[in-house]
Amino acid sequence: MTPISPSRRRFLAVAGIATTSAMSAQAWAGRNERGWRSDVFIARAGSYSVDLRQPIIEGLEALGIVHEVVRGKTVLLKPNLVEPAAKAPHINTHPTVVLAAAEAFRCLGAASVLIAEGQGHVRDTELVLDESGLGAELRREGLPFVDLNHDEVDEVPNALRLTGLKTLWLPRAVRTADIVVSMPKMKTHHWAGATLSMKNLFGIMPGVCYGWPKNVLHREGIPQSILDINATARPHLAIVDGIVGMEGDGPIMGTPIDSGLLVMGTNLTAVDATAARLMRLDPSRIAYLAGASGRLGPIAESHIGQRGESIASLAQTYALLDHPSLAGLRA
Amino acid sequence: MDEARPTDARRRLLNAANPRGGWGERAGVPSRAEPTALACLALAGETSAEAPLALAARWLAARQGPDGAVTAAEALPGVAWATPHALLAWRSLGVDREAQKRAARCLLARSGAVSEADAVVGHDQSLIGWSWVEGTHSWVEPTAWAILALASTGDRGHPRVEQGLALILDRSIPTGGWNYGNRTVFGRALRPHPGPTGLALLALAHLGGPTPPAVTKAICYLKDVLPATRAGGSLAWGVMGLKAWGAAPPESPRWLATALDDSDHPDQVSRKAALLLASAQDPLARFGLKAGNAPR
Repeated sequence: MTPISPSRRRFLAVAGIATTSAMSAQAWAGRNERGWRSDVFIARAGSYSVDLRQPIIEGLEALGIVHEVVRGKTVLLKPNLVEPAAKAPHINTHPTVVLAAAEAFRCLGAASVLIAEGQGHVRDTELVLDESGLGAELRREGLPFVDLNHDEVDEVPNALRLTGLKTLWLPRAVRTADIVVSMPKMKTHHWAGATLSMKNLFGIMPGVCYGWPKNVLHREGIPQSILDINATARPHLAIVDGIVGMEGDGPIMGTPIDSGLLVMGTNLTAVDATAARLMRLDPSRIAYLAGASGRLGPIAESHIGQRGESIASLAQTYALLDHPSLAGLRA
Repeated sequence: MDEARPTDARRRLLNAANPRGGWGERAGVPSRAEPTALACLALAGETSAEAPLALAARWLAARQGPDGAVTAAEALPGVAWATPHALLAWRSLGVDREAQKRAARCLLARSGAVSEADAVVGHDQSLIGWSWVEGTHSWVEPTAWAILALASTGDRGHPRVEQGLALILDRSIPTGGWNYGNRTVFGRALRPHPGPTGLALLALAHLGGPTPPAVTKAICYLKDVLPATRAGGSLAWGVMGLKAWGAAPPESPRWLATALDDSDHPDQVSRKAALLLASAQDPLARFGLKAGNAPR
């Protein structure tokens, strides 16, 4: 098993990310998140044609991720590239946001920045990179891409075990990166309610072990799998692409919605709770966020330090599918 | 096609072989069953490749367990979805008949799990094919590979193969083509993709009788998207699917040559192997199919 690198441990400490082992015995319901507090930064970003590097650097610095933290580190950016669709670019994290984040980390002194994904629906990674437009941009910028579906893997103990899986297979690139950044698209999800930075980590789970579309994880339960993966992989940061989000029949068949924002934070639970509020969804009614509350982070507004723009100034109602399973999610 | 291109691609593929046998997903990484099997299918019959192919066949044989399942890698016990790939590789090389039989028995013993009927999912969940991982639902690509493998070793008439063919037909996207295996969800038709569409058409070449509408629509879909597809794996499987139905456009060798020339992906083994396979004189023979096998 590959150990977590010393520099990654330091980052965990700097970013204030708590370990989950002490909490894993807590029951699914009735947890207490009073000990949790995390800051989340909301940036206004009107379109993909504006300078996005600056608001990302501003957000990183507001969150304490400064040059001293990033210098010399390997940064892995994990966008959401669930499916290729040149005619529906709102499915995937926009290439401009990925490049801006890469540039921001380079400016902050990262030794290397790599982009990684293990997309769930299509085995041909080249097709996903071509159709999303990201492949050409990465080649132009000299940024390496790691196919997480086929990377070398390490079997590690499942830190939470809400699923029946005793161990999880994690890609070597994720295990050895110093800073792992989840970069989802802000979208509704017809099974999970919303797909944000925590759900985006389904994409680090190698298809070679879990199948396409990550069949084992669906069998074990989406909320339970999300929590197990996040507790075990312990990502360090989220940058949510909410410039154009997706509403309705997400995560792939929904419609674009202009939201003009980025959401960032070192605690993914807090980031996703904030993004849910920006979509006018109640995070406590989204199963995996309710399950993450007090286990992996805070979801209560009183436990989240809001930085940058206010939720009220940018929140808008994201339409949901008209289905009984989603009827209770509205804030 | 300019013969220099496949020759150069073959040389690069041979150079990517691991000295202890097999191929990894790219040069310099440990071998895995899928790229190894694809490289065997692509290079079968090449006299210059005899030594690495023999090593590869042995590497695959060493991954086979007593139940006939072939694991994806030394480090991945229990992950056996590449069993049909290995069977087809051994068959194309004309080796390991006993291993082929054990693999076929394993495939017939394994099946995708049946899900409880769910009204929001638009396919027939009672049909049983093959899964990526034991204990999970049946999906298009593992079912297609299992059909190709079993049919190549004489089990075309087996009821499991018949049901697998029915499953693939049932999963076709209403507008034409296939994706991983969901046709509609919450009443919405999902998008097809060229790779699984080509693979499904290859497997369906084992159908008898008149051409089903799903096949006709899929051929139209591929003819529409492949001219603009540069992704090597998708292009290769799409072209092979069209070839199985005698529908590959005359320009398709040029598409394949352009993808083989793409210097952005010099050492991706599965991509290169699939393109070489599709560019071969008679790729269908590697799957036990004949040109014109499919009904018109």
